[in-house]
Amino acid sequence: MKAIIVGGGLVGSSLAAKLAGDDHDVVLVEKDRELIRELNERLDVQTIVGNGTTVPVLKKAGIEACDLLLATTDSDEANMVVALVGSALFKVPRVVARLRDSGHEESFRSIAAEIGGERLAINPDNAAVERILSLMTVPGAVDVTLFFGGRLQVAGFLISKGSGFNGLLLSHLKLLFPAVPMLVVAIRRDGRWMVPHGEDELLANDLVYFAMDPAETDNVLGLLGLQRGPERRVMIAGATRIGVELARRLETKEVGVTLIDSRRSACESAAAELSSTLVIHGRPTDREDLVEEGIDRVDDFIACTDDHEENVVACLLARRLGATHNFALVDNPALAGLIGEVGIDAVISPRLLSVSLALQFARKGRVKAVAALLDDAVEVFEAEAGEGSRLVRNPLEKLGLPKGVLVAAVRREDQILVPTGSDRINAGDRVLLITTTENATRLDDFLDA
Amino acid sequence: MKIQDLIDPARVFLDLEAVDVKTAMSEFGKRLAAGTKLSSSEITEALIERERLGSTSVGDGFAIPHCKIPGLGSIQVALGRFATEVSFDNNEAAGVRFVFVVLSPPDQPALHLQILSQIARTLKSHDVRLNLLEAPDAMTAVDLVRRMADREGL
Repeated sequence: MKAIIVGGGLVGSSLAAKLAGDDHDVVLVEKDRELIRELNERLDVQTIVGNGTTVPVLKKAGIEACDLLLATTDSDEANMVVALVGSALFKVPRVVARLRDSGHEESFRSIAAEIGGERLAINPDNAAVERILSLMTVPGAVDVTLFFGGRLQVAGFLISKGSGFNGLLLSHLKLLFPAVPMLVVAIRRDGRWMVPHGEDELLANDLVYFAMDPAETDNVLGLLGLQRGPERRVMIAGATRIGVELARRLETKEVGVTLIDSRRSACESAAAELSSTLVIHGRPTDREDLVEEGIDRVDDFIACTDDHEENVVACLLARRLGATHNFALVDNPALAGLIGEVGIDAVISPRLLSVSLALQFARKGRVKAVAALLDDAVEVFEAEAGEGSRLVRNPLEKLGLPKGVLVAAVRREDQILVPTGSDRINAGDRVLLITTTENATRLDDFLDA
Repeated sequence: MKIQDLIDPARVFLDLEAVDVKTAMSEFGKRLAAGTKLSSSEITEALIERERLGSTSVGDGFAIPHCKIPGLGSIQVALGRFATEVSFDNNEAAGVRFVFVVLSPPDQPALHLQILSQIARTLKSHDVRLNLLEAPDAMTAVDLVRRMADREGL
């Protein structure tokens, strides 16, 4: 499969690495010569310096034989041009465009429907809003993703010293939660990922990912020493696209929202767009402004200004001033790695969310949902076991799955099962697979018919 | 609440006789009904029902039978040792000799899980398991559990 990526920023370069790992023949187009030089050192893909919105550059990248085109520059307009040229002129069968403006998204969808083929518009801001909303339903989680149509939740938590999970063996989970799917799918200890095993013990400071029935959330939170209160007060820092959309969505849930931004004009337009939200002109990194707006009574503080370092600072300040849960928009993976250690509940990266969505589309057919766990070292994905797939032939322990790959759960019709080594997967089952990122491609052999 | 405060020598029974899960659970039904508004068969049935969902055996001859029962005023913990092994799980070669029984009111799910977790963590220690199997009297067994729970940081 030949894939062309236009735009070498965080989204484009992450996708290039992932798709090359998936055995795609990847060409990356980027106009910034300096950036290309840097990418060449880091990535094992072909790169081309040039403006990807132009036909000659796209031809040079090999667009005539391209199966998958991804437009991931920072400009909506450029992405629109790339995607439309690829779709209309070169009939690329599958095209992804990263579009932040919902008007652009709608235009692209309408044109794509006319042209036909598989087209996907990814809106990183909307993806971030969805992620923040799902994180808010599980306070204390660093990460929450739903699988099997919302029936299974993968959520990551830091284990504190006083938590009921500290010192518990994984094999004990079944004792505590006998009736429902509840398992540990990944553990990060001392900066390293571990593939969990029944005799492993959970320890304080572990970052632990559970796959669980969402109905068990309160019980798990209770054992973690966390709880969710009935009424929530939310403060959002940054009247950005994400901030305003989040406020709008929370208004429909009748949550009391305060939105704070240091730019008067942004405050004015947010106030015009929102109804019950209290819009305040003030600085999210200013102690007095936060105190004046009652930060000490806030349950969830979400920093989503366009300055991601400011988001971290605002969260640290909010936490010190008494906000219970703090979420920061952070795209820089190195900065994101600091969470937990500094007391921020979770970071949300719109860019990495875009990568997940594009990857899901690129692997379409077999993969239904995918989530990269912290540090991008582990992937969780839901796939359908096809009739001819190697997954369905033998009991799990005899499949010869690569080391470090775990079949965590199976959805068979209406049931969710946690399989053991002697169980078989049936054609038509949905499976939840956990794998180290480096092993992700080796699973292709098992999934393809 | 801690396991250390919930165990009581008056609810440690070191000379129980049972041939299967049913008779094992009824020993506790009989002994724990006193002091509650529940009948012994209600307690026995609830414990057996939970075993049907999956064995509460944690290996090495130990099990933690438990259940939530409406009408119970507060969480109850009892310890018991059987004269001979009782089969809790058909897949497991060795039977169960020693049990920690936990009865909880249904409106305290978090406490219920915390106590189960505390017992499971206490029983990780090989020495504690060995000493409990050989404890000469109730007070010794209680002391052993309390000491181990303290050491586990509970």
